[in-house]
Order: sequence, then structure tokens, then C-alpha cells
Amino acid sequence: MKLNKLVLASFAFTIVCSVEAAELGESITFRSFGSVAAVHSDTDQADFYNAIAISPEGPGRTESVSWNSGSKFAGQVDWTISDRFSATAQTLVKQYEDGEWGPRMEWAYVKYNASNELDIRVGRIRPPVYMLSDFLDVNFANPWVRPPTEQYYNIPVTNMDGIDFLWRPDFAGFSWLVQPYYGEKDLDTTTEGEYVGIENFGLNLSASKGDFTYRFGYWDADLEMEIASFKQASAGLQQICLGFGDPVACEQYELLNLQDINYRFLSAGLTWDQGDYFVQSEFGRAISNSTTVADSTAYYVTGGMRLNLWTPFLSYSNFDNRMSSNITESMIPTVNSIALGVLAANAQSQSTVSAGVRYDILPTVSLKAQWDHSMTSDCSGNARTCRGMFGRSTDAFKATEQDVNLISIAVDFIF
Amino acid sequence: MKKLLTLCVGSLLLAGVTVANAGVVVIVSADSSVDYLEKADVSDIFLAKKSSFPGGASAVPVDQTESSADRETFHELVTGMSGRQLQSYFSRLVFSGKGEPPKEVEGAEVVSLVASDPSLIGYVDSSLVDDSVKVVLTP
Repeated sequence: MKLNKLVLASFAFTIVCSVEAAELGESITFRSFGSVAAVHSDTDQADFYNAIAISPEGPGRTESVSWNSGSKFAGQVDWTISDRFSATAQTLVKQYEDGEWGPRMEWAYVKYNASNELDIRVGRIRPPVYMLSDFLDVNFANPWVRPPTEQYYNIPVTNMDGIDFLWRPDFAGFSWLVQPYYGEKDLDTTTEGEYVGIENFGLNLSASKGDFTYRFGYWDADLEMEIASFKQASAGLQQICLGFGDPVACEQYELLNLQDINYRFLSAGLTWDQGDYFVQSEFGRAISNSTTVADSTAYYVTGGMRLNLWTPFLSYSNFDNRMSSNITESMIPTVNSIALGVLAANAQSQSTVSAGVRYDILPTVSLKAQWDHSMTSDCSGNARTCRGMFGRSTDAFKATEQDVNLISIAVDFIF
Repeated sequence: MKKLLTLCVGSLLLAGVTVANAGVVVIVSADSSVDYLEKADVSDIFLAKKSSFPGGASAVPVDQTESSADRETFHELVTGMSGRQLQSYFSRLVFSGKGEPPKEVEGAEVVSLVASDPSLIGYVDSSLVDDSVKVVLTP
């Protein structure tokens, strides 16, 4: 229902703007970007999930080659209303986490240019949780077929309704971007009546000088979950705790606190781009006050070179779940099934080595080929899974550490 | 012999300098309060990292169209980016509302346009410079 309204609104906006484009001339710009990607996985025991949380399907167990995993198309309208005010709307068509294809409104905001150094935006904007958050979907802007999964998988908040400030002071010889933000977001879930509400704020700080850009991020989110199975699990534990006086159930009930979850993500990034060679790296640490959402560490390092129209690159990325995988197991199987389920959902440690090349066919079109070799780990402890970040995995896949190869071919464009 | 060699090397160096100078210069309107800019300032303005001159006055860059040879020279010397890299770079800004690529005009129009507005900054071949504009950087 909510989705339909958004789609209607985005179409209405696009149509209104298209109609007015003729009258307003240069004050309206239409742009688009997109990707057509084919991704093949060499395992048939689990699906590769594209960056950003729970994918509905992917290459691997569901299908040998997936066109859904990386293909997308977006249209953006920019309207310059006056010297100070402008409005932007961007709709994105791709397969979203709930399995539906868009279009959905990713960005829709009004920007007020307060001074040469300060812009204020209100509306639907993207919280800059990561260094590449701004252009997460614009694959044309990046060397890879997709941003490194280990780093970019973790936080599924791609937009929020709120406000941000873009302040660009000059200080100590660096060009700065200081971007504080605040907003709210309801995450889509596959089940009617369920939702995950997020209230978040943060700071994105970047400083550039010459070939170097340094970046720091702080993200702080309060999660409110309305998920039937979680509620049931929590109530079940509470009942066993109070009713039977099972100390393990009490301990686990406390541990799996589903109310007032606070989740923070601290990150640092570095880009060195000399023109012929470039290196970029990010490090992130997620900290939560609840076992339901695991603490984790993620990082990647990518290096590449530009040889005329070719950009070959190498990359290494790692995700390490820092949640304790050991809990006290109860005598009552029901108690364990709940707690172990949560542990297993969070046990996703893996690393990936990638090699690929980008070829610029046209100034606005690139062709990419990439090979990823992912290695899952974290089989110890009570969680008893080695699935890494793969989904819909078989019991055989979960049982031992896995090596999975992915081959991706993509055409990315902007117009 | 040694003197002759010095002379030869000297003239070679001179020739080199002359060739470099005959290239692209960065200009603002003669009415602008800006007299001199660092390369980093010009780069930041053309890459939409900054929208003001060091003194605080508004700065709006004017780029040349893709067909221009001066464009390639200017970006190689000042922003350090090729045409392809600029496309990638601005796609990051454009699709997140953080900046717009500069307006593009033909090389022959740059001087008259920049002369008309003190907030504008452009680049041209040094042979096109006249009294209506002033050179703030020879990269």
C-alpha cells in the first residue's frame, strides 16, 4: 500500500516535471543511470546475496546465472526552482529485498543553498553510513561490479526521511565536507503487518587534499522491531523463564533483548588517487547493545591502475562477526532453538579476494568483468553454521567452511 | 665548448618554458577582486568541492566543451583527471545531489563570458587573453 503511494508519487513528480521541462527550459534536467549484470556462482548449495541485507534470491542454488542480482535502472529529475532552492527526485528500479521490483523513490528532497559553504536538504535522502553510500547503486562511478559485499552488506538503510547539512569549510589546508544528518526509516519486510522502524542520526566527515581523501563516519540508530516470530520467540523465552524458572531461558531472554536496540557503526576510509594508480580502503566497526544484531568488523582494500580505457583492479574484503558464538544451552530444546537461530543468523564471517577489469566502451558506458573467490568461516560455537553471507543454504553448505567462486559481467551506464 | 653547451641547454630549457606558457591560462573577470589562485583552489572549484574564492566571493567554474584540446590540457595540469575520470567523478556527485559539473562553452566564448561576471572562472589559450580578463594562474 505504502509502496503504491510512493510509486504513484514518483511517477506524478516525473510527469509534472517532464511537462514543465518544455516551459522552464534549462532549469530542469533529467538524468539516468543503470546496470545490466549477469552473475554466475559455482555452487548449487547456496545463493549469493547481493550487498544490502536479505535478497530474495540470487545466483547459486536458485539459478546458475542471475540477471536480477545486479541489474537496475534509475531516473533522476533535478529542478532548479530559484537561486537558493532546488528539488531532486530519483526513482530506482531493481529487485528489492522483499522480492519486488521497483520503481521506488530513493531520493526526493528540497535543497536550500544557505551560503557558498552550506546546503541544507530536507526530504528523502541517503544516510552516508559508508564512504560510497552516495553512489551505492551507481556502479558506473566505481571500479567493481558491486561495492565489496563484506563491507556493504551490513546496514540495509539506503534512505531515510529527514534532514542533512552539507557544510564545506576550508580548514588547515584541506577541503572539508562536514555532513550531520537525522532521519527515520521503516524497512520493508516480506510479511504483512511487520516492520523494522529505524530512527538514526550521524556524521559524515571527509577531508581532501591533493591525491588523498580521508573519511570518517559515525552512525547511531535506534531500532524498533515489530516482527511476529521475534515477538513470539521473546514471549516464549519470557514464559519459560517466569513459568518454569529456567535460568538459561532467563539469561537468553535478557541476552536477546528485542526492545530498545541501539546499533552504532563507526567507520574510517581512505582514498588515494594519483590518476594512473589508485588505492581505496574502508574499515567499519558495528556495535550493538543486543545480541539480536551482532557486533562486527569489516574492511576492504582495493587497488587498481588506469591503462588508457582499461582499469584492472585487485581487492580483498573481510567481514568478521564479533558476537560471542557461545551461549549456555538449556535443557529445554525450545529455548535453544530460539537462541541458536539468532546466533546462526548473525554468524556470517567470510572474506573475498576479487580480481576484475573495467573497460570504458564510451565516455558514459563501461563494461566490467569480475571474479570473486569467497571463503566462509566461523563454524565454531553453538551457532553451527559456515554459511557466511550466503543465503538459502543447504545443511551440507552450512556444515563446513566453503569456497565459492563468482563470475560477474556487467554493463554500467549514465545518461 | 662548455659555454656553448650551457647556452644550448639554456635555450632548450627556455624553449621548454615557452611551450608550457603558450598553453592554457586560468582567467577571471578584470572586475574580480581575485588576483592570484593556487592550483589546488582552481582544482577544488572545477571539481565542485568549493563554490567560493579564497576571499569568500562566489566562484562559478566555466569548462570547455569535450571537443576542445585546451580542456584536456587544463584537466591534466590542474584537476589531474582524464575525460573518463571526470565522467565517473561527477556521476558520484550528480546522483547524490552533492554537486553539478561545470557549465560548458566553446573555447572562443570563454573570454567574453568570464569578463561579464566577476564570479566566473575559466581557462583559455593564453593567446586569447585581453584586457577584459586577468590571468590568475598559469598552470
